[in-house]
Amino acid sequence: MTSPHCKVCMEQGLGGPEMEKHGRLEIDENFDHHVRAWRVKRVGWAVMLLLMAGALAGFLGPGPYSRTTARGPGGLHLEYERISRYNAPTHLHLRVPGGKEDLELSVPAEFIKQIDLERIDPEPKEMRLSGDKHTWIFPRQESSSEVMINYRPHGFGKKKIRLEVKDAGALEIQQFFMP
Amino acid sequence: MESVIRGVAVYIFLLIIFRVAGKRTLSQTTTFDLVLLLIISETTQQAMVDDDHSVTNGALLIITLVGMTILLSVLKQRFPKLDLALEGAPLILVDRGKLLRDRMNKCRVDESEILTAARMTQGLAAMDEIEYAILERNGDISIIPKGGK
Repeated sequence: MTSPHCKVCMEQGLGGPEMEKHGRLEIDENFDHHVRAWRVKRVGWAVMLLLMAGALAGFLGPGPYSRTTARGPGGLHLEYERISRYNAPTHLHLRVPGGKEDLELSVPAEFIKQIDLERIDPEPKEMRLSGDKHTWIFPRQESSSEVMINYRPHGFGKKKIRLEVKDAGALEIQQFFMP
Repeated sequence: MESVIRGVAVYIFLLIIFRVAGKRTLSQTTTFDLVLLLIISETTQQAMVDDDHSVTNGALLIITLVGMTILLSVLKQRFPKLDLALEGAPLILVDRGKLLRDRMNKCRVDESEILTAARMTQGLAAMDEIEYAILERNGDISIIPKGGK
């Protein structure tokens, strides 16, 4: 049984939730709302579970799905994370075939502006900024050379990165940074 | 700008998460829930503050959070349906001495919790002394004893 509003509210001309009578208890229970809320909660729990599963699988950051490799001409091999997060550590691990000349690795200057560079292994012997490219020069091993670039991205969204290795070709990859 | 966006985003996210988690998650103060709240507060702080530990950033975040609270309280007053969505409504769990088990299961409340509330708030010893037990908006269980005023 419901009464429009509580007696006091009616006398004073105030609005308010509808009061229901259960025996001598007067209460604004609104059971329909509770039924809806339970439904929404179940959906919410399912969404939370999906997000956790997605995170474990690497759809929301580092994980099995996120880890990937790219291969380019001239024997270029790059390991990277296709999904990372704002200000979270991530890396580019490049392998190039050996040779006698120094390894020259170029990335867009725009990419450097969008990240906090933490560490490059091995340390480059020279760095050059020319036009829209940022170039690092490393001594090259005879068998194969590896370069690890550790960084943290600013901002979020889809970012394209083009890595060029002199005399070996280029690799273009896409990363998505979650907020 | 980023501080305000982070503050608003984290505030809304926590609002949704705690509504989805249910009333009892907020009201209980067992060790488990205390640990959960401590960890959440620490995680929230890092998400909002990031690397900027300046007084300005701290002040901006506090203003944003208090501002969100004021805005929501004004909106809740203007829109009763929003108030209902955000705060919920009380729910009867014991009606005229009868346990409503379906509702108790849905709210994850068991008989022992009702009896605990009865002992703590009314000094009642047994279930047959309870006329009504209501799960309030804040997650507390209020007890109306039989024959009481």
